[in-house]
Amino acid sequence: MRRFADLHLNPCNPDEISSMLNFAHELGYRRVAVSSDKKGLLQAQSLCNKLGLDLVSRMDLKPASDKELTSLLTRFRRSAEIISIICETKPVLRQASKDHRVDLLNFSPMLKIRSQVFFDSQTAVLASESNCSYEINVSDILYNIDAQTARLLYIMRVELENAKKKNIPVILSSGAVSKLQIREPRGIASLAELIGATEEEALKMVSDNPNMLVDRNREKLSSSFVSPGVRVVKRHDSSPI
Amino acid sequence: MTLRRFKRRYLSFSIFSDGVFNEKEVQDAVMESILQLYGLKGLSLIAPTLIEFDEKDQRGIIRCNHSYLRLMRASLAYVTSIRGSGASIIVKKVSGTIKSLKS
Repeated sequence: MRRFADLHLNPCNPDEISSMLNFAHELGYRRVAVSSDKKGLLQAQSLCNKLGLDLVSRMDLKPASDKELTSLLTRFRRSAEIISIICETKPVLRQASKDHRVDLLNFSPMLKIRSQVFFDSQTAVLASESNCSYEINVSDILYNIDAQTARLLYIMRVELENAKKKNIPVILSSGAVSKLQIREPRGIASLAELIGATEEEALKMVSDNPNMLVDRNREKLSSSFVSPGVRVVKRHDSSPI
Repeated sequence: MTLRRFKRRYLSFSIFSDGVFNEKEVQDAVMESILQLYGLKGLSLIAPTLIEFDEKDQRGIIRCNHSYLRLMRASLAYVTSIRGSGASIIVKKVSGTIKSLKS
């Protein structure tokens, strides 16, 4: 049985958090990530414990330059399980895609920016070496039907092809700011049909791919982690017997 | 000449919104969503039919061509408003017969 995850709940105000988490649980999600302040995360954690939801801490960074990105990563890497970078300039995109501390590459829904800065083939090459994932927010395409959205869908289709060519994990999230923007996992997966994902690929994007990312990061953030594939199994007391 | 009958899928759904809607409004919203996403050809292939809609519980059953179930689901997920007020349509269960859907 699939374990569905939505790694991007982005409540517009703290009052929305409880209704969004209850709804996500009702729709069959087992793991959710919430972008919120400390107070909001504490509130979310207590509710998730009651509901049996696995809460993942997430931080969205929007640096203006590659230098700012590096300093933000040094400062915040260990304070969140998932670090997502919203790339709005080419230097930030290049730096984010080659930095192994970045988990998710996110892009602006604004067509003017997206047509310049998107998940191109060079980014895919860099991301494949640093284990970054590419995130698609369904909310970006949900609220407008016009020529611009059609163009955005075209760009997303190209991005998905680039990601597939280099085996970059793609993560499909709701990006919901309110309860009414959350959709059931299979509904979100069906929407991926619009950008050319097969049914199996789309289902992986809402289950296996996000779960793999979270599990990997939790292992990395644990005290027993040494390097990929190496972890402390047992600690011996240094004092002689 | 007889038309070959295609296999069908039945989807039970719930509407989440602050407003209350009637059958016609829900049907119009679904049709509009399909037309926006897949056009007239898509609508003819998906062949959606609203079988029933309970205005009290805001739940219903919709039928579609089984080969285009994914398109139907995407169209339902794409509904963001009905009669101007924010809404979402959530698919609860999918089945090949109405009987098993209701059981």
